[in-house]
Amino acid sequence: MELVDIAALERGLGLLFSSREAWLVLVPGLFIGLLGGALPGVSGTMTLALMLPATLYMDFLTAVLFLTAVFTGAGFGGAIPAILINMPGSTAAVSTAFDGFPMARKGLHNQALGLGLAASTLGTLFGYVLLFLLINYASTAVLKLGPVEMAVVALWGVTMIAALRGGNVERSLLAGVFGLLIGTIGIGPTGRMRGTFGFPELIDGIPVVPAMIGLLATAELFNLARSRYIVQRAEDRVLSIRLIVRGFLDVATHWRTLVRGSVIGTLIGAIPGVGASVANLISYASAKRGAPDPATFGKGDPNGVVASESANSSSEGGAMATLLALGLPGGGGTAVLLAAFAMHNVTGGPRFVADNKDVVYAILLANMAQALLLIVVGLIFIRLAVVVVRVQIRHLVPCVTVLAMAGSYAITGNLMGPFTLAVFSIVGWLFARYGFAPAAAVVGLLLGSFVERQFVFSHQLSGGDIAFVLSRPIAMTMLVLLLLSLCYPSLVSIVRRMRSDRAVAGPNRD
Amino acid sequence: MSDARLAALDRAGPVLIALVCAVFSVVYVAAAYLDSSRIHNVIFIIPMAAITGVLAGIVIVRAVLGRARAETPAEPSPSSEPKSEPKSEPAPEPGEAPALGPLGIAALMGLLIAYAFSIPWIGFDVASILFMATGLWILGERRPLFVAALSLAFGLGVTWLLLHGARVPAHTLLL
Repeated sequence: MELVDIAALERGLGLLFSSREAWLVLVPGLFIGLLGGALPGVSGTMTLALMLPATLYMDFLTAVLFLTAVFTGAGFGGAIPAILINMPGSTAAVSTAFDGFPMARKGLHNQALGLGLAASTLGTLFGYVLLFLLINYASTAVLKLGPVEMAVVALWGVTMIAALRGGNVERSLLAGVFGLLIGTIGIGPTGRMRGTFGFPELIDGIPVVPAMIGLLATAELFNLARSRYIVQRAEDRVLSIRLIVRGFLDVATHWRTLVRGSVIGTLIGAIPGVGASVANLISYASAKRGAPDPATFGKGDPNGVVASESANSSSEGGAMATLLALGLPGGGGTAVLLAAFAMHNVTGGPRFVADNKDVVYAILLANMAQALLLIVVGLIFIRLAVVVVRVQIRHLVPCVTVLAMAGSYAITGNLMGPFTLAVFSIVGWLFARYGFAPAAAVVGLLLGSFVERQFVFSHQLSGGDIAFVLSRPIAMTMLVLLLLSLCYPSLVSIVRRMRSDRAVAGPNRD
Repeated sequence: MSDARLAALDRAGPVLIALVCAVFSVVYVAAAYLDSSRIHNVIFIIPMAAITGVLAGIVIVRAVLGRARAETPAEPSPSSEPKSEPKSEPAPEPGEAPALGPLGIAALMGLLIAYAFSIPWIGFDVASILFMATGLWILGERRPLFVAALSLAFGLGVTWLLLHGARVPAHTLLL
């Protein structure tokens, strides 16, 4: 099998340069995506879904390019509120807030945004270049991952974030596992309602996005209420393109984190159903574990922003690989793209790649161009969005809360959104105050029903034989890595204690 | 509530949260099992509830032991539990608004709950305006005209966007 089909590539370039419309939709698509991603409560998936009807009268290539531009824009858009107000615009930007917001609190909001934009741009580019080179092989590789592997990857995401978020490990793990459990509320795999306690509104489960906004953002607003501005020092409250550009260029000094995050994002993005929400967390945890001083993470370490943004953006390329090669959506965003495929009577999968390689190459090349365009459009958008640091917190808190409440209402379309937001804001504040890692609870809530489905599929495949797991080498390797990552903090502290004991005992012996 | 009682409640926070998680898990799994004991209905939630129970037990034991050690004058507080205690608020910097104490935060939380649960009765528009006005006041904004103008403009503006931008058939009273 050859790496790149040159004849198909030439035809793809021909397709791309013969269509003016395909290029005209890129900038509006990026801007719409940035806006949708940046508005708390309006996710990238929701923006894509809202834009889907607009593509009805476009030809297939133009429609896909417009939607992938929205997808790319939303990928970075979520980072802007995560950095400026600790409110991730989407679940994919959860770990961007871990270090992005502390950077903003230190007056480094311009640099954090520039760094996020660079990581996002290069991550997207990396994902698509890798996909371009590996599209011929991707379809066979992804088929090797079954429900056991998917369950282990998802559980890994939860435990990693609980174990490495800092603070008290058992409390954070409890928050994560409790999140997984309440993530299964609603109709279970047997079609019976569970945990609704008589509330029919909970049939579809706890609305994840309002719960996430409540746990992570509104709870933080209560703590912010004591300050006058997000950025304390007046002289740091500047809006500076120069500093944003400097932050953008600073990504070169974090190239290891960038490459690692991009690889993790692309690989995890390719796993159907997992996507950017898990990729950013695993990349963050991996960057923290590999850092010379992990204690700086969570306190404004630029590597945290790079790790998260590179992974969530590169996962787009991975998700597109699964969509194109298998016809399976890697996440919510690609599910909307799949709907766009269906709207244009196109079915993704190995046959589509084999028969329409020129179209696939055209899509991939245009997406690489989009990633570069995002630099310019993103800089303009950041310039507009960063005004928030000049607003007093006593004005910002009520305004952001009302916006979050409206976003929650819009997502659910009923009162469950506002109710969930209010209840989970208080839960989030209590969790954060007593060291229970609200982020772990969010990830658990996000993945609860997904992991349960994988458990059920695995049981169906194995016929209830637990030894089935032993016959899955990828799953076993992942399980060992999961256990190692859980034990890692304890092992490190034991080794450090032994070393310090030896150092203390050394002079006495002399 | 006196300061001593508030402090005692604060210290019991981790234990109470762990207890609530454990009790909820048991009730949830028991109700699900009684409803349908088929393997696929409980294959995931029983192990998760068991892990929740074990972790809650560890959290409770460590919190209780940590407090007992801290209260023993002969032995200083161990390093195993430094992060379990609630963080004390740093002193406000010059020029900052006075710190919002526990009562202020409780008032904001109560206001948020009242905001969400009043929407079915007074509509999203009026609830938003009232939340904005009261929230601004709690947070220290004392200019009545500013409070009224911002609350009205923002509350009505967001409601309009919700109704006509996102096309959500929201409960409203004025719009």
